[in-house]
Amino acid sequence: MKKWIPYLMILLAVAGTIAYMTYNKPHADAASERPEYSISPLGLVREFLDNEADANEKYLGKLVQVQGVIRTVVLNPNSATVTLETGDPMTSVLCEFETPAGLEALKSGQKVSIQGFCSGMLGGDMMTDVILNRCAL
Amino acid sequence: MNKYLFPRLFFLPLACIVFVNVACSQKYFTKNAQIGFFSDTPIEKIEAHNTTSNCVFDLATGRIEFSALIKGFQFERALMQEHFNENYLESDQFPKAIFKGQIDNYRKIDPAKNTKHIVRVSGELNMHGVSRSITAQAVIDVKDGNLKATSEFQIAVADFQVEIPSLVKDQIAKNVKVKVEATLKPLGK
Repeated sequence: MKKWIPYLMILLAVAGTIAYMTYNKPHADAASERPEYSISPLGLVREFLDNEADANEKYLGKLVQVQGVIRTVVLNPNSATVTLETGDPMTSVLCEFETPAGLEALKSGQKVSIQGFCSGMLGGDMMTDVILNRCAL
Repeated sequence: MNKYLFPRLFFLPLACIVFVNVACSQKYFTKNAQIGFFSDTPIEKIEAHNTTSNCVFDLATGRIEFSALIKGFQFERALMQEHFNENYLESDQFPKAIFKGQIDNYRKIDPAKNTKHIVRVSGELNMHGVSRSITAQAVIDVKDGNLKATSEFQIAVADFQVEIPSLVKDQIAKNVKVKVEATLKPLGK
């Protein structure tokens, strides 16, 4: 038996494990990571309205914490959306949660701190939302 | 002469303006349109879902518009989501997908009658910096003043200049199925 065969097998096992772990690596978790930015809903929307390209550069894919007052809560079977007040009915920060669990007690008017990954701004002349995905309270 | 006549005459045109405005602005919208796409090959099934897309439909003209953020598409596997964003759709550079279209036979949609309508939608889908014409059949289900729109169609990945590396080209379908579902509510309610 050749001496190098056991080494080769260990190497293959390590490579296989790394490949498997990379393939199954978990999503970044909004609840356990430190937000890169903390801002008011109005402040965030303003930055996007002032200069969408700059705001995209700064916020896209980043974990952003917003502290504000809840406007609406929509609980679906497998997801939920919470919108935050900006003072202007045409704009909001829209926070998407991957599950409605734990959000049952949220009410409009309540103060909250939500963190999620910023996906950008949607809307145009009529209404504008900055969207945070995979949010956590 | 009746002393109430003047105030009545004064309010009549005002009432007419308000009425006409309400009648003309028949816009419906949602911020929770659901867009899913499905890549199905013998080796692997991949799907992604976006639940925070916008949709605005103007019943007076038949214009319909969808917009979705590419980073809003959620995959089961983080690695696929990363590849989708960084390598395939380059969402830092092209953060949005926008569809602007027209419903052909929109006049038959009466929001006061609960009925299902089969309609044809055609328009332009802009994604990854490329615009392509798309035509699809859709169902508009009128229910208690709301319009539930659903549609399913295919898009060719190559049409949008999305380059799939040869290493994984058997895992990703050349034609991806797109499913759209939006419950549109009258604007202002």
